[in-house]
Amino acid sequence: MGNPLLDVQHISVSIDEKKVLHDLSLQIGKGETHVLMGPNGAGKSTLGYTLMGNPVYHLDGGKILFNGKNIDEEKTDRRAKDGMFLSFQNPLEVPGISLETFIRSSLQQRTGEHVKLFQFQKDLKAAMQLLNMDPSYASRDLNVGFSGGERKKSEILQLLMLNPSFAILDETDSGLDVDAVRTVSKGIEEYQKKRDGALLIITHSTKILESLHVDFTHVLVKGTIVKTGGGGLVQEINEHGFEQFAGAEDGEANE
Amino acid sequence: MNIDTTINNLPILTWNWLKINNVPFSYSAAVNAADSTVAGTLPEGVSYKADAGSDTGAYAGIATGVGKNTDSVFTEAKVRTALITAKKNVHVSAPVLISFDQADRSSTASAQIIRAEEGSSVTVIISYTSPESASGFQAVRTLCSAGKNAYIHLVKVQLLGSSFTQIDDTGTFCEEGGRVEVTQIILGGKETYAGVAAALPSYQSSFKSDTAYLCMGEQKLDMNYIVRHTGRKTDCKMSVKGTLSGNAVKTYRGSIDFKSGCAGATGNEQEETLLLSPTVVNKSIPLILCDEEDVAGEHGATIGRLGEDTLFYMQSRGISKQSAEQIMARAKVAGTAALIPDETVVTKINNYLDKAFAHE
Amino acid sequence: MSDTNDGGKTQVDDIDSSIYDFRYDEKDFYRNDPGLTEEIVSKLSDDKHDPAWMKEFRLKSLAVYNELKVTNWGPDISDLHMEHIATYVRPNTKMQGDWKDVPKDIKDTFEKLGIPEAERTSLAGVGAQYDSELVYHNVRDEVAKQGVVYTDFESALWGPYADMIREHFMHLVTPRAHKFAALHGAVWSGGSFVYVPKGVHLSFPLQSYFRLNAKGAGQFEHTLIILDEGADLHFIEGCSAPKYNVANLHAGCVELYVAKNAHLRYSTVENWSKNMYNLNTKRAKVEEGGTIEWVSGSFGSHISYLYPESDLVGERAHAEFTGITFAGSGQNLDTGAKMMHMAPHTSSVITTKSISKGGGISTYRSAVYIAKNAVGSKASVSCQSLMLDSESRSDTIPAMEVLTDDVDVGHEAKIGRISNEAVFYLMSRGISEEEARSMIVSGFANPVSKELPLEYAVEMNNLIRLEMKGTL
Repeated sequence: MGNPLLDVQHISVSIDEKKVLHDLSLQIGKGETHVLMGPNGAGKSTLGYTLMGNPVYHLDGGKILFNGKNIDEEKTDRRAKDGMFLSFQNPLEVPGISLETFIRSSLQQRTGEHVKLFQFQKDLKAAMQLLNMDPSYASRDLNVGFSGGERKKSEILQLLMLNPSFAILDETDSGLDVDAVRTVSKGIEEYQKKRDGALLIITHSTKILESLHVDFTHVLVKGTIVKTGGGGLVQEINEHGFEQFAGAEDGEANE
Repeated sequence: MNIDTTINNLPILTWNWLKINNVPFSYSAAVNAADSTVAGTLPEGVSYKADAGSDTGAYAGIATGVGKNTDSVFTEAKVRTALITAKKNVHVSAPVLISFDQADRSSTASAQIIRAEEGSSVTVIISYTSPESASGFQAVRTLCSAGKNAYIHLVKVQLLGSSFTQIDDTGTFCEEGGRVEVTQIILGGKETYAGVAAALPSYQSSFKSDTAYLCMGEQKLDMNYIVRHTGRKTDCKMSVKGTLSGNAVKTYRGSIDFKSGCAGATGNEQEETLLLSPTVVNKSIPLILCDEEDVAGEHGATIGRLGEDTLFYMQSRGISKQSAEQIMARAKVAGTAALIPDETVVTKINNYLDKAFAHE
Repeated sequence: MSDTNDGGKTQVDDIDSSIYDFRYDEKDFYRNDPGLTEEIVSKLSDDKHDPAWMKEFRLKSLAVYNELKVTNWGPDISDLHMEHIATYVRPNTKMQGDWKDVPKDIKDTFEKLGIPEAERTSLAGVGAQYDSELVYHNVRDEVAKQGVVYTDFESALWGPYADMIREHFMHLVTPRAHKFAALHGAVWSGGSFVYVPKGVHLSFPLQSYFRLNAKGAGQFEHTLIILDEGADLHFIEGCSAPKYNVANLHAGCVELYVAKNAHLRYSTVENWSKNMYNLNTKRAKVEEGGTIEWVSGSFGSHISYLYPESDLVGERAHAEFTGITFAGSGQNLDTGAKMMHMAPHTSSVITTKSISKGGGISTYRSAVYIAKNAVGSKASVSCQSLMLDSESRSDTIPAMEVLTDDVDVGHEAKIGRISNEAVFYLMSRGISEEEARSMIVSGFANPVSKELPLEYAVEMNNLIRLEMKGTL
């Protein structure tokens, strides 16, 4: 692959001295949608946190290049400004800051420019409508008292408003009912269309992928990628589960 | 002996008008030493010395809840401190039982040191009983020292007569990974002064305390609990539950002290007080002192009457208000008594409660 | 990425609060002899043209002051040498009715602190204190028409409300309350008197402002607010002072009388400079069905003792205290509230937040007292403390005394640090670590800042931002 947007080269990651990922490599090109699947405990969320630079995870080996630049030493906010975004599996409550203020502050940080209030509010309103979010949530404290579904929508709302070049979606559909999954999926599609952004969708169920176009699928088992395939791999996993890959973690990843 | 001092001192002072910084205590009468003998057979893996003698030196630095101001009671009475040791890596299954059956008009002092060597675990149950309306004085001091990864469960059950004065003083210390759990049931006596101090200077040591009480009539209960965290990743959980009725007077001081260096420490303190009469006096002061950033501490207290919803529910099942109050008061004690691994002791507690409520 | 919550290595720069630290050279100011004697107190009283009863009161208070001892609890104030502190400084200007007549440098001081702007908005009137004397006072027509009295204390002693003042002055906070209340009784000077008649609701807040400029001067203003039945008022007290090498003392006194069914909101953002001893006493007495709401932001002072007390003496009286304290380097702020339930069906709510940073010491100290006759009362206390590093201290000392069973008392307290997960979450949206921590602390303070009028909330958020700079 030519100049991938994200180039992860043989990384090993540990937390609290426990090794979680080892010899993991992954390349994502501009505008591509990749899916990362695997059984629980495989290390999927760890990959998301590592890419985003969570200091709790240690990069023991390998390197990560984003836009051709080595970002190993870059702090989280720098990576965000570079165009990376992480939609959290368990979005935190942050009392005292409203959702609207939060998004506006983030936008300001990203662009470095003062955000024009009128346009911003218009965009926010439109995005909230797309996601079937009650407009009153904009003035509520960030995620405070939000249901699981509303929190996930709040993440996708941020995705749409911040418009990153690369978004990592960590188990975005977990805990959502059928309608919410559809709505969130709609939001992701909108992002794909609008931005031509690259996506890494981390999931262990496939409901959310049903209406999305997937370029590549990776299977993560016990901390390393054991298989890579096209969009069709998703279907295969749906039908046969992960067991077929359970023993493959010592083997080669198939291209 | 003659003593006129203040005890159960708060680690930090506050407004004097609250009269909560400490409690005055005075006593002038002879105090006799009483040995702490083990009831029944000594469980396997435990060694016992009626008089620790010079061995007490190793434990002299352990701070206690009631405090140093009562030292003279023990020294003047020439108390023989018993030493109960659980041997290294032994998990002592049967509890060590020490029973004090106080005679009417007795005035005694006793002391024990419980030492759990590395990797061992032991339960010691100390119970205090006397004839129903007996009067007298008793002072007890217990020191617990948990070695590396060792565990001590100290249970103290107070069922003294209605005219007794008691000082029950406890101090604990943990080495790395050591744990001490103190379970207290305080039901009797006229005036009880209970204090527990826990030192957590070692990595991953922990302290748990569960206290349940019932103060009725003219009873007075004055408590002072303090946990000092100096080791990293130490943890404490303190819970005090009880009921006040009649003209009871109760003071609870619970302090969690996160000292500099105890990074990763956690502390939780909860108090529940059920008030059943308009003439009770309740004072509470749950303190948190903090000198270390990387900690998480919380405390909560609820004080009040039987909730109207609970009362209505019970009444709709044919239970009178008075019965409902008794049921709730017993439940508070039962919850803590469930932690006591000895049926006989729990039975004694229930019998005592039966009698106490029969008088109401 | 390094873990910045590494206690011992946190670099704390001196807070850049220079926009608040400015002063003017003293002009020909009159000044007391330092130290406190009967002669000095008498002279002070004569200079102020006190009525006879006030002079007697001052001398009696001085006797109590000399009798009482300093408390045996709380921050150490042994570095406060009373004998060096002049207690009275009068600027060379008389009472002003109109802003344009106020001397320029005095005007500049207040201009920098934003008073003229505030005046231009919907504030009803401004009484501004400058070194122990009110120099500017303006009561708006609307306010005056409604019969609301808002005047400086000195002239009120001789006006139509002289008797009312005599009946109330230091009856709520008596000189016996503590040593510095007695000091106040002896040397008080300046302050405001407010009277709101029956049923009058003032739709905009009254504001007062203090300033302390002279080296070594003390500040002893007295605020007396009397709300008659059914009245409604919001009073804002905000203050600032420049930095000096000599200790400065603020021993003010606030007495609030809330009559039957009246409602008073008393807001303060306190930002005294970092060498100030703030030994303030505030007390409210609330009658049947009345309500007092305290909103308090404490950012300044070297040492503070501040526990607004609410005496709920009438049935169904209600009190709320919402406060935030931010103790930074060199500060020892001991603050809290006292709720005294002395009648049936009274209720109180305390919500406080405290932040300690850079070696600052923040102590939350409270007392909830429920008397035997206060049946059916409810009290709830919620205090949260945030530790920003390991040089700092945060102590929580809440006490409850309950003398009857028909009550509902709840209390909860939490202490901890800024959540690393929350910082990571904000950073993942491109917000820098410093900004993220600042946002979280502002968010933490939000329950208090949202109770304040906008310009105070803005000042408060600015103060937080200033305090947070240099955390990393």
